[in-house]
Amino acid sequence: MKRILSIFALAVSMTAQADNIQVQITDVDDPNIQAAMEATVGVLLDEANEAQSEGRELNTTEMHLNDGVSTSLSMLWENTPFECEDEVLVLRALTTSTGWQLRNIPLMMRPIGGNFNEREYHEAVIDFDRKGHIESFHLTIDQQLYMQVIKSNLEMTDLRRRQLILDYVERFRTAYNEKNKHFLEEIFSDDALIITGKVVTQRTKDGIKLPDKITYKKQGKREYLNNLFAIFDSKGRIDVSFDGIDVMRHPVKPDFYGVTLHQGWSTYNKNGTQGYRDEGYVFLLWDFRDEQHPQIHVRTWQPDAFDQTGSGQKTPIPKNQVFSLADFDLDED
Amino acid sequence: MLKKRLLFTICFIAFAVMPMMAQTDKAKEINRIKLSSDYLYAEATMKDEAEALSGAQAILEMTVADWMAGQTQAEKVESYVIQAKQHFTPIITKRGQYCRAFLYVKKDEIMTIDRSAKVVPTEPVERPAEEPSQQPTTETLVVTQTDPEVAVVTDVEEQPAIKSLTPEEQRLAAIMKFSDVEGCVTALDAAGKLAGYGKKKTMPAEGVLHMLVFNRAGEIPAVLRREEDGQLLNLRTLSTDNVKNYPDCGAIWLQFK
Repeated sequence: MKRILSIFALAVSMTAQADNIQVQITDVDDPNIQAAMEATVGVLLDEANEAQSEGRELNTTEMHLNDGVSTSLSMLWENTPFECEDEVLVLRALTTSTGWQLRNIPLMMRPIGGNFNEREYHEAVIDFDRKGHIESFHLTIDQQLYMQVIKSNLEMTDLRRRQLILDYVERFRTAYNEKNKHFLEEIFSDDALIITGKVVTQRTKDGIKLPDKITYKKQGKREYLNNLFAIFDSKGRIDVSFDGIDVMRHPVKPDFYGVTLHQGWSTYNKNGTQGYRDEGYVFLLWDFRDEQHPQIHVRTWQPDAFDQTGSGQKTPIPKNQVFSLADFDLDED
Repeated sequence: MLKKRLLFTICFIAFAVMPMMAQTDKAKEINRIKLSSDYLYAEATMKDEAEALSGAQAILEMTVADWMAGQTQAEKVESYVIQAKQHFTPIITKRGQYCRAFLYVKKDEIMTIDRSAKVVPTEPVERPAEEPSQQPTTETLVVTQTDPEVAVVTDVEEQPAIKSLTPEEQRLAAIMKFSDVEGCVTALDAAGKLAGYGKKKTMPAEGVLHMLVFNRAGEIPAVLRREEDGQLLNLRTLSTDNVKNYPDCGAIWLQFK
């Protein structure tokens, strides 16, 4: 019996996960910076794994991260703690204008109180400055949507630009969840046009239901953000999700993209009770002329369904009524 | 009895451990490839293996295209990608409930396509003696006289308008979706065929030009040519047209050299 147990223990130990993740980064010229980046990523992922197994908060104190990165990680951990199950990570560093970027960092997200679902696996992206310090940590968009765009027929758009677009779409979504006012101030251009649709229910004087009407309201950046930030301050949690995406490049202005998203929006009051909820289409007109500082010039929202016949039943909005790139004219510079 | 139990236990452990060891070997192989500069690779992790493979393939195709763009002329890149796909090798592993598809190709295998295409035989290829007799030097044309009273309707009749246009106009007339406009305009510009293009607001007031009319649904309901006298010709119907026929539409104009 003892022999059996010892054989079993030997077998298990041969396949047991190592305590520390080994990180190897390629394509960084300076070996010292490369080593620093490998150590930073290794420490971060090891801490995530330990905090996950011990059921505690993520402790990034010893990692000397900037406030923005620490806040992002804290907020991410609050909603969906994560861990890395790979023993050895080999990551290729992509050169950016400010340093390097590591992509495809495999994470398993464990939503608090949630069950395993389609959104469990996510990949993280880490940006480093030229000294090897972490500048940002964010997740890529949901894998299903990511693949949908990667595989779509966007002519003349290389992989890097597609990944950049998807990265910023995800960071835009995360900014609402994190109530990141600074990011939203930066991402909307000063002359941004915000259009918000509202469903108006109509009835005759006799109470007979008429088809709903959608009215649209135009706002500038300041008015929109002031209203949004007021919601941020008054609500406990904001939950924004995207489950559909369509990307179209402008035929004449190649650095401009129209991104249409099917969005779910939920707010929760500070006492934890659910507040407002809706689903609709968000259209964003993105300007990537400066890839390090892309801007949104147009944001529209419209409901995804409404009562179009007066029957009381909501039906999906016709596709030709969903805002798209063709609806907007770009001024010459 | 004890020996049987021991043997059973060892076999049981082996069947449980061996798959895990196989996974570890695959992961090691993946990391070896990633650390080597001899390969291009891509990976995708999805719940479904086919989706993961499909995603990895799409990414690797773009990776190969990006790499080849730095190695050869732009117009040859696509053909390299098509050939490289034949050498894509997959390694499939698991990540929890998910399937990880890792796909790689050796750079040398991609470049071999170019070298083999450039090989020119230094000696004339000897044709087998039998060949000339297999190829008739004259052809017999068989003519079947058709009944002149029978009207033969073919597809050609349905597209006489298209066939009388220049090749560039035929290409424009065939565009049905707004999303296809970019590729066509960019290709024409890259080929040096355009004197200018832009949106309706910047359209020149005079001169011959073409217009791709688009609606809110992203469709191209009309492709028009503006003549010197300002008249508009619909390139699909070869009849005169008017912008008033396309309310609530925008347009992209192009001017050929």
